[in-house]
Amino acid sequence: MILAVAVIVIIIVVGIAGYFMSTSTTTPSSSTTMPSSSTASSMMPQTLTVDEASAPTTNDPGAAIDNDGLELSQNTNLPLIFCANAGCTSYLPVLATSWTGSADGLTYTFNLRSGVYYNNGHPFNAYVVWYNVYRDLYINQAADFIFDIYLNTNGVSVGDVNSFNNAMNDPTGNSTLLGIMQNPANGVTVLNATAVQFHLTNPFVAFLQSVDTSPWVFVDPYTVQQHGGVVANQPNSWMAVNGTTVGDGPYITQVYVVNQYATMIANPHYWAQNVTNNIILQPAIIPTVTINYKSQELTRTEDLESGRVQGSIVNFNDINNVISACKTCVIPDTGLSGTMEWISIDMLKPPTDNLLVRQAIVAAINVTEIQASVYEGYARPVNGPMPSGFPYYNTSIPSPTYNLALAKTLLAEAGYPNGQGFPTINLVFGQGGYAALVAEIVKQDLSAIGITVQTQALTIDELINTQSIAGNATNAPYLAVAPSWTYYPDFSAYEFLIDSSLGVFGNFYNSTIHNLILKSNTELNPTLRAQEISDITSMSLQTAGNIWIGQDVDMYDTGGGIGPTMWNSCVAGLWYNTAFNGVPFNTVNYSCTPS
Amino acid sequence: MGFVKFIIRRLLMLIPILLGVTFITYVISRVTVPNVARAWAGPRASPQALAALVARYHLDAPLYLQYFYYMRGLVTGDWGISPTTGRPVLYDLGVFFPATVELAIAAIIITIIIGIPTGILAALHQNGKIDHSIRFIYLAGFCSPPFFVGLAVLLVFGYYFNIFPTQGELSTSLAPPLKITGMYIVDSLLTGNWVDLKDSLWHIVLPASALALTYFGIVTRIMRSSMLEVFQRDFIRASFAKGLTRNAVVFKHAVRNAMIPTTTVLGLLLGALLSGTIVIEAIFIWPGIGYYAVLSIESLDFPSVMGITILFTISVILANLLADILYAVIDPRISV
Repeated sequence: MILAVAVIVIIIVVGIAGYFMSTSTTTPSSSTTMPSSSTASSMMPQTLTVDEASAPTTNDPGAAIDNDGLELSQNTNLPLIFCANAGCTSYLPVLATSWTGSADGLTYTFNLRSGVYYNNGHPFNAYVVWYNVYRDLYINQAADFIFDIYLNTNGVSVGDVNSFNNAMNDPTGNSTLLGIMQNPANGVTVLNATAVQFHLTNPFVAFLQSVDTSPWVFVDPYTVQQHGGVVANQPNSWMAVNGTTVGDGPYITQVYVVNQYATMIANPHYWAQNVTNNIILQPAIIPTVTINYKSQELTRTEDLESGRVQGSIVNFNDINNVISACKTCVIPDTGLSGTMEWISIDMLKPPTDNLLVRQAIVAAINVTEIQASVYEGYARPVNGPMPSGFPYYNTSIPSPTYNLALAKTLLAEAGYPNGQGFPTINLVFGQGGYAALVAEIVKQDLSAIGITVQTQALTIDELINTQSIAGNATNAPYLAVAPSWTYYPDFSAYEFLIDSSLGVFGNFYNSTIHNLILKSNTELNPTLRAQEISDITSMSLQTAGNIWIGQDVDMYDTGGGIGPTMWNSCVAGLWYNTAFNGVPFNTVNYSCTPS
Repeated sequence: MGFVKFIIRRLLMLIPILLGVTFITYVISRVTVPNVARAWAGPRASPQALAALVARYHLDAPLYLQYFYYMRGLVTGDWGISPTTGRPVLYDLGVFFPATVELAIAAIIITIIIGIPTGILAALHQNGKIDHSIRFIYLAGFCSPPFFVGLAVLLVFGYYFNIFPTQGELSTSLAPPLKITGMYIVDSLLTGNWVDLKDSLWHIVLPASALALTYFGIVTRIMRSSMLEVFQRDFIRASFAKGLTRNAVVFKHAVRNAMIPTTTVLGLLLGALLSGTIVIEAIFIWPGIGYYAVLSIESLDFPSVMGITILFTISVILANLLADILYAVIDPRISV
């Protein structure tokens, strides 16, 4: 009887398969579809598909901090201003039309654009800005570290934030709330429906640069309030999945399948449909963008080579292989990125607490070889923590050079001639990418001066966790190939890498550098600030707490420590700005039909 | 009545097993990574965010207290919120588990379709060319690591011949069906969404086949062995003596008896599949519990890891229970 059942099942399955095959009119997983309608490019594909190497940890624009989450939030929700150039020395008006800053650097006023709406018809205004800043301060997720630097929640309770709950985003019927919003003693003050003012707790020179990207994007308050509201120190579960389905940007997320893919469509109710002179505001050209989240390098490169996708993250050390196998694949020349590659050295644990030892290690590492062989030329030399192309980068400070003889001399002066008596030290790195190759080269280089290194692969989160171990603890790693670090434009993010009391990476402790960093963050005189940052760079190099491997180039849509995005050569309109951690898809179009 | 008591007894056994499993998992996770707050908060999180996280998950409390807080939440239905994603653990389990069930069932079906007939065939041609060929094939599948089989199937049928889709449950151009069970094939069928049904069936072929290729050998082997053993029984000789045809003896009598141990194996296999699809799910980006488990482990997401562990434990126990029940149903001589 069981056999009979099995036979029947076989017949049914074969029959269904045969039926489907005979009536099939579409190709499975077709990455390009025939356009239904279009104005300027009716024959060009209407869909762009990209493979990313990891999925967003959250789809909430107020909490997104990884590149994949930012990619969604930045395409669906707009900031007040945006960097107009790579160095972020001038700004584009986006949701703000104009802005001023006080001479003491403590007060910034933004005049907002009118006529801005979310795709659900709810309006954007100054009250929305107020709500979002306090929402983010209260949920206190990783992305909100920016707000913590110069704002606080004094005078505003989480109940006040939750009381802002009407579909017109207008508090005028709630006099208590309105009074709180308009209170000039609070960090955020609403002057009127189209003007908002920020009162910083301390001057922060890079304030405007920090305002141009997440979490300084503004979700619809009513949507949040209808789905759980704001809870102190907790993320909003609904927003974590659906946060970008409502937005005021050129795209909105139509489908978001956790850890699988996201599909964005051109915002059908986009308020800036007729804008043509603003690269951030202009409407989408390609109507549908699908982003696949695939951790397997093999499947990503196969997708790109087979034409299933038009863009894909490729591991650094695989770039040349893919280029030779895929004649239509290119990496656009977008210049230097804001992403740095480095190795941290534990400054607290013997023997690396010895300055001479650290200087010997730095001199013994051939970073040029690493740049060429691991990054295949897609990492350029840097002279310290400040990326080239950023404001206050000092080209006159020389990069550390590879010098084996000097390394041996320094090590001998430290009391370890030819490495005699030097204990075995460990080097940890994140598994799954090119870091293992970096670790291997470092191991070989250090063995040339007599230092034995034991390498250890960790997951990225384990790697991050090791950095919170006290530097003098026995289980603290001596060396760590840190994950790629993407800078906010001149957001002094470099300080995270050379001051452990401010950031998390490495065990870099120097009180002089620390005090100088704090001073430079509040220094309003650009000449003095430039000098202070140069001094910090020089001192950090002298202290030899890090090995600067390089600055990534052509890292359009940074791979988060994996590699650049490689594109089909028909994809055009790509541009890179260090403030935009993801791809601004509204600028992307096809110059030809991908084959 | 005895049957009902048996089931109740087995279900009650879940409680001490779950207590033991959760305790061991909790202790191991906390001991191996004592200060997980930074990994959860992220490298850029401010000291205030870090402190809030520590307070929220009681990370500064003694281990026994942390376990108490966790179990208290568990029994009240709060399986915690993933610190890395902000989503409730139960929500994620509800999203990912149906996909694994669907994949496991599809793999079992393919395994049955291939494994049982080949086992019968091998037994009927014992030590012949057909028997040796079948044994070679199933050993090749069984001995090949799942990642190799998965990648090979993906490359050949997904890329080179471009017959089947290479990832996910559904084409990205289609909207998922209305969620009833969370299994796209079942939900499409229940809602009459034939486009999604066709597409989701097409998507499941490769991952389910890759899984089946690895495991069908077990079923073939058991079926072959059982058939050979049954052939030695007196009642088979008696059947031939009565004048029954070979086909009648084999398919009406021998197979039924040989199915008893095979059914048990199938039940155990289901349990193994539910907890062992990690590699295949990662290769095919199949949004199942295995894939979710890998992501959770990599990000040190302990609330999620605990939830997955509990789910796996329950699944394996229930699968074993199902195997025992089926065993008793197929062979009335067996009492539980």
